[in-house]
Amino acid sequence: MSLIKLVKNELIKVFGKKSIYIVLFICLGFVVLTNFIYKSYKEPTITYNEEYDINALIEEQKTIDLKNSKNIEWYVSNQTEIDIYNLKKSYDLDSWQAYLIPGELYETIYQINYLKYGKYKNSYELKKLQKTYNKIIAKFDNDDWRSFVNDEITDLNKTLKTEKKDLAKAKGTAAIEAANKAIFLTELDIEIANLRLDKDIPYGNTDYLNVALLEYQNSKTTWYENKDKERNYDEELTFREALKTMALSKYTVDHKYNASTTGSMRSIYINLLTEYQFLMFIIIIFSCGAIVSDEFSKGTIKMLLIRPYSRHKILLAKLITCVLMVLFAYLAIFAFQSIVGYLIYGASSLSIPVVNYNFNTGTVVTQNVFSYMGLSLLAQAPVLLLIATLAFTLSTLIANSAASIAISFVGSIASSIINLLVIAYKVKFMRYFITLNWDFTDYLFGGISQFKYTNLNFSIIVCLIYFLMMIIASFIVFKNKNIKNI
Amino acid sequence: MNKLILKCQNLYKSFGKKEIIKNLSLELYEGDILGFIGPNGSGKTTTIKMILGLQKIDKGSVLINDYDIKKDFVLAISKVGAIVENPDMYMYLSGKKNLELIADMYKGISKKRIAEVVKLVKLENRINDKVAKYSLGMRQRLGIAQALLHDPNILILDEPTNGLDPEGIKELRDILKNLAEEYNKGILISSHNLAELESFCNKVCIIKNGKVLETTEVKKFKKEMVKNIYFIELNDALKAIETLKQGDKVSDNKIKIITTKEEIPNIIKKLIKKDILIYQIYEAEISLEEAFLSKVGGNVID
Repeated sequence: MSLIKLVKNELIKVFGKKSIYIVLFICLGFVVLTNFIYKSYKEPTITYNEEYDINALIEEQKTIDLKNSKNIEWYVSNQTEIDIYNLKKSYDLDSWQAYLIPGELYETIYQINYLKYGKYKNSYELKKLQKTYNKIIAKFDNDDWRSFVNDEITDLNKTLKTEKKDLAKAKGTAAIEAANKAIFLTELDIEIANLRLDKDIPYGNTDYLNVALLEYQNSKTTWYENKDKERNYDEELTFREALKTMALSKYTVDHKYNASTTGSMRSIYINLLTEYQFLMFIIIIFSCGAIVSDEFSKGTIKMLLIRPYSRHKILLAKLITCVLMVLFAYLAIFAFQSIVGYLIYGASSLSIPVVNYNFNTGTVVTQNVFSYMGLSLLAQAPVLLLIATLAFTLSTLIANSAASIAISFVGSIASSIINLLVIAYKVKFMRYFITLNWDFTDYLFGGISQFKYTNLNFSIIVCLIYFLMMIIASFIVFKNKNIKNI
Repeated sequence: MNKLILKCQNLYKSFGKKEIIKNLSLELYEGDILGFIGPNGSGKTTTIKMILGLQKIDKGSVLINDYDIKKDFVLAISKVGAIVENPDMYMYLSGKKNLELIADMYKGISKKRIAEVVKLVKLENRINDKVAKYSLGMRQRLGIAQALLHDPNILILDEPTNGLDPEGIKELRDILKNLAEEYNKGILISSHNLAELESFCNKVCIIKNGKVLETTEVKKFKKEMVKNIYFIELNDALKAIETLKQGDKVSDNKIKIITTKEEIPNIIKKLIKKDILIYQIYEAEISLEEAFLSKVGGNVID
């Protein structure tokens, strides 16, 4: 009971200061800024301006002298490019037809152009080519992409047959392996083609379903390449990443699950802790880094320590306050993001669930946005709590607010740099370093750390040891501190 | 007989190699106002901090209401109200909020009690202002208010008259006298303003370089110090000194001699024989401050 009163007093002191409101205001500013940046951010489109090139070709065509027979091939190939582009444009550059046109029609158009512009004329040949051309165009016009898929499957099955024959003939492990891989890849292509038919996914390359199909294909290839061999840690990470991408992209295709929208309320919510970690650090460090030292520098420590409470109890109340400030920092940023995000994006994106891959069960886990946020807060709580403890401990040990705030900041900034270096150079003894162990996000859903030399249990122990060391040091020092004359 | 409520026994304290407090003992009884006097750096604040458990006691013991401050800190401190060094409060909070924070740390202090104490130190009009806007005198009053809040039986006030105007000092004196006389509280008060202490205290404890020089009642102390000093007003100071072969010239018409009461008639006789006119002979009366300075012998910190 008495402890609750002490904590209440501490909270009154923390929130009685103007500086905390200034910090919160700055954080709000950052949240608004972040939301606006995401709002105005566009996915970089890799498609360079094709039209520009085509216009250049058209200009070029005018300069080519067709009377010189050497120029014919040049002219024809240019013309074919132009024709293909115009054809694509007539169906819309993002359509499935546009995706297929170069593959299906380049040869035909090229030959037609050759007959048209070249010296050699053959009307029979031209008619035949025109017929092929028209047949394909008819399919395009009928929106009949399925027939292309079926053709592809037929072709692939033929290939598969020859590959199986090759396998039977193959001698030596290397040859057998190569043959098996060829079969696997062909079978994968057939699987993708069948998925198109089943899930009704026309060709294309920019929409999320085609992206997922491509990811599925790539990750399954990676998975195949790594599944049977002895994997080192990096390969294990790649393998696991492939497993995950495979399962998630398959889920995307199967459930038509479109969550790829960046810059939505949902995506910022999901990444709340990474997006705004620094803001939470600011709030936490500012309140915890001054919680003991301010009493010393302002002389109020004397007024506090002549009350009927043991010093342990007084410090414990301050520690509890620090933990509450961690919660407050999260909730404050959550509240800011909720308000700003709602005003900018609305809340519709929140109904889309979050999917993750569980490595232990090998299944896809779906959960709603808020339960995922809870889980990710739990996974990153050690980071925030340990930063709070660091600020609190420095505040107690060196009794200087400015120094403890500054050192905590430097520590929190340096931590990510240290992590990058250590992971890149695989420095084994750094496994005992706290920042490589305090973020449990990697361990969620049975995952493993990016850093070779840690694992879940090891990380838990390291976090506990750091936490206890800091707390014990604080309590011993505070208990024995002489309140010097000022 | 009044109860002994604070007992410091043979306290020692050093900072590094330097001994700050040497074998300091002091006692405070109910109803007493004990002036704790000493020059700067003599160890007053350090002693007070040791009594309050703010600094470690190297050797010796402090008993408050029969509880040892080292072993039973919580019990010992619960009936003590104090100001140490400055009345440091949370400047960014109002005076009232500050008192509420402190009230929260004791059991059963009502809003009424807070208002009562505020009224006692006459801060009613400014109590809702932030402490940052207070003058030093007002902060001193707030400090006294917080020390009184939980109705302690021991008050330990470190230089409480700092920053108070004469009116404020008079009020403080009245408050403290009332607390000691009416409510039988024991008050330990340190101050540089010795003239003020004279009207405050019934006992004094003089400390220099960490050692207690004297603990006694104020009246007795002053009497001891002024013993055997006489002033004689006459018409020719030099002639008188020549005649008596002793004494110091104070002015042309006044000398100071150290002698016993029994010798006075003889001195008068001698002076009359030499035709010196005597206007007045009186025993010296000095202030506590003069007594203190003569006891401490200047203000040397070593």
